[in-house]
Amino acid sequence: MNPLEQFEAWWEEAGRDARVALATATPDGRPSLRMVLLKGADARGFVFFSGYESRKGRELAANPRAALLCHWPGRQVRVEGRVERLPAAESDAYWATRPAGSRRSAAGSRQSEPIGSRAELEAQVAAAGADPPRPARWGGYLVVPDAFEFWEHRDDRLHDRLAYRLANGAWGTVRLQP
Amino acid sequence: MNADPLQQFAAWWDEEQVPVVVATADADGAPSARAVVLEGFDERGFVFYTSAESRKGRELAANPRAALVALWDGRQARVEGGVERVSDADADAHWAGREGKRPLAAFRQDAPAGSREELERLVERVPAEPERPRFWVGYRIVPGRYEFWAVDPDFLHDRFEYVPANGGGWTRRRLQP
Repeated sequence: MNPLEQFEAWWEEAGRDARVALATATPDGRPSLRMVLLKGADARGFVFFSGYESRKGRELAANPRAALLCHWPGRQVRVEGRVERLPAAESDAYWATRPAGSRRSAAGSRQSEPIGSRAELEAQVAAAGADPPRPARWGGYLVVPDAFEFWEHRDDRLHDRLAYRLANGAWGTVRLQP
Repeated sequence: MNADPLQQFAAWWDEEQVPVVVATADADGAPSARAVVLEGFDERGFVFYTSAESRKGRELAANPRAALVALWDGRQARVEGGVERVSDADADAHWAGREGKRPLAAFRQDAPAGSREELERLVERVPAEPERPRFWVGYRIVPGRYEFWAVDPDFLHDRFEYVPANGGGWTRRRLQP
């Protein structure tokens, strides 16, 4: 099984839980970490959406690498690779599927910037209009994997760990000690 | 939100203890992330145990900084900071209370293994109650920044950042979601 098929099988068994942890880092190696919603995974990579001017957006602009962690009961999948922006047309298509409140919030919020109060935030979002278009500062990212790890709990603590590494266009696998 | 981020973390943690994710980065800035068990936290920081020879141990040796996220239903807490080693005395005390010492002592975490049978053989070589191996150590993330995030049904999620204040304590400010 290639790692994407393995991921799909586990994701399906986890009820396609979209919550994944995304690690990025500044160019000098200061890591940061937050949850994002995984919106798709295919042969191109793993997709999530964000403000491009948010902290993660700024970190990814300067250091386009990320690690994703999916954590389900008794299982983890780790995905690492380079990050690129999704084409604008795909971000537009996804934008159209989002609930109106979510679009208004994304259009009215300068993600990760300070704001004085909740009332100020509400006013700023209201000023963005009832049905705003996708702002250029918001869109999708693609994590293009060059490494995967699949981890499965065992009660005897001899957990199964299988790492996949991309080398010369092909996936090699190695079992790791837990 | 409590004015003290440690108290705020404790309030959420006391409602439910959850697995946490820890991110590290190598010296070139490539990030990595995995779930760990948060073994404790107090005013000194947030502690987890692992092998110093593991990938995260090696990354922390070269670049002693980490980020942690805890996820509850509709809530996240983020902690970032420098990382220091827990004292040997504290690590020994933690080791004494642990279950399942044999596999922890048997494995070179993240080194390749040929097969499950090889793992079983490695465990068999270890006595039933091994001493704490030198590589089994605790790490403490000393917070330099906290963030608390709570979901809002109208997508105006609450985000509060805490950074150290001049003269001690913490400064809290709201961030845009």
